[in-house]
Amino acid sequence: MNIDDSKLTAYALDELDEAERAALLEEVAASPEAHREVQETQTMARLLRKEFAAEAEQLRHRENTDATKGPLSANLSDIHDDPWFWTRARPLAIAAVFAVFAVIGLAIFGSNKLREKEIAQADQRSTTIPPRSRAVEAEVEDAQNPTASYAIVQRFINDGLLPPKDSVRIEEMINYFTYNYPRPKPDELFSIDVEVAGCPWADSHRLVRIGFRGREIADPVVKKDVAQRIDGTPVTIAREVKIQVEFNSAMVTSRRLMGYDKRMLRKDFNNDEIDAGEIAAGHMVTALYEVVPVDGAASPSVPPVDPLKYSIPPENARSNSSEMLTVKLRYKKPESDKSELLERAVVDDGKQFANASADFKFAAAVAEFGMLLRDSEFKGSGTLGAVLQWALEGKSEDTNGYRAGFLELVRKAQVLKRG
Amino acid sequence: MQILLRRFEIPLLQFATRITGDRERARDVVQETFVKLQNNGAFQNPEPATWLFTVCRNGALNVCRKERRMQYFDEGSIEAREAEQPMPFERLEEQEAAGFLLRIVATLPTRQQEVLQLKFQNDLSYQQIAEITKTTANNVGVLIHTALKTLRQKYAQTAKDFIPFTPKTT
Repeated sequence: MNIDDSKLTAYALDELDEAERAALLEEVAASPEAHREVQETQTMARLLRKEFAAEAEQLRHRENTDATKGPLSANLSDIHDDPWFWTRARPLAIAAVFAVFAVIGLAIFGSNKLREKEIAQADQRSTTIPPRSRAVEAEVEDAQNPTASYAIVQRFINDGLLPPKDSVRIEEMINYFTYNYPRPKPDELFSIDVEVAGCPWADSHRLVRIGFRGREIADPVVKKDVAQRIDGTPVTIAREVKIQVEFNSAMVTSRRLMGYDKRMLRKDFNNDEIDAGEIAAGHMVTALYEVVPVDGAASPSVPPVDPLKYSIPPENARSNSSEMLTVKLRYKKPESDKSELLERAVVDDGKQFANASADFKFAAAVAEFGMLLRDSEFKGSGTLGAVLQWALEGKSEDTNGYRAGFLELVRKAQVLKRG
Repeated sequence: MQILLRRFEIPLLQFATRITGDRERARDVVQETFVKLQNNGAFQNPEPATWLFTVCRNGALNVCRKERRMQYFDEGSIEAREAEQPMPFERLEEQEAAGFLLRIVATLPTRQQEVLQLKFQNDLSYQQIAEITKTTANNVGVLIHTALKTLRQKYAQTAKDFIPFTPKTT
């Protein structure tokens, strides 16, 4: 099919009527080029939405911080009465905002690369997943500032508006918070902390939280808190970090990595690889999976993998194992070319959500909050009220006050949704 | 009314600024738009977005015409705009803040810029955009298609020169 066609763009942007859409759906499914075209168009659309929203934010800030005038949203009658209302000074406030963002970006940017990357047998890749384009790469790079999305969501809600759906990035929101993961053992660079419990928004599903924590640097010269460092870059303790999650097809029907609604193609495989890039000292990465267990009822919220087409051949599957999944962490030390491996097998002991840890509940609350704001097709049965409840139960010590801030945000969102 | 003002003030300001190229003039246009809204009782309109953007766009175009800033439909001025707003990428912070992609958007023909903004900032349908910009939904589709294609190409080109921040190993 001709991929340089405005019909295809309209398809990607969901602008076609049912009949046209259905007709194109088959063509797109049959053509890897068209599929790629659609993906790239959607990626560009997402980026545009994000940047327009950010521009609006800057403009809003500029308008609000204008020293000589109140916000435009003041009573409209003022507009008639006050001829000066519309003439404004041009303070350098916006420059200040830029600087603040830049500093935050420098301090935290890059230390939290939670990047998904397809791995699979080469033949599967070539037929089902178009090669990642530069635009997609760039978009993924763009996702590396872990606070960007949360800050945008916060700004919108505090301004009395629900954020644009595409500005809500669940993986960024989850990783905005720190969790109480154990410190690595003395001889290891990382700790891997995995918890499996009931999925609070889908009864028959399981939720898997995988947390990594990098070793703190003992040297007092570089021991400063990584997030506090605004004078330089975080201290890298490992590079080419790849987090691989292998699911046991005897236990798991399908699964979804939270926050990647639009990049769900990887459900075809029993193996996920998250490319975490470089990991800084003391740094944490959190990944949440929603899992449909084999004995769970089929649910539309996570489409099942076609078992005949993609699952591991039975002789290779660990069909006798009671393990649900294996987490593998591969990395290289900064000065070494040797790849090291940390491995952790996980058994689901059937824990209920009610008995889960505070961190688990809190991360689940953040994820569901993001899905509700996005009006995600995967949001399940959760409500903002439930999110509030889970977050309350998961508030824990909250030494930096971030979790209290989240609770406040959910309450405000509740009011906005009602209004 | 307050709700509409709050909801659409910034998007309209952004929109009018793109057309007039001047925030002060854009602010006047947006003010005028809301005054008209109040006078006409149009806020009872079930689809205020289309109404507001249409009135705002007309106002912005009038400003351009009055000031003989006819570059809006003048293809020849696109180069001029490009020269006016180059993409120097001197400073990373600036790119980050100003929006890497929006700087490329600024080099597109104004007609493409406005449909992009109506679509991706305001989530309007092709049909609504067609009403606002007085064209057909089909033409909106072509404009968006062309714009996205150009954006992707330029984005890929400039991405080569754009080195994202990565922590150095110490």
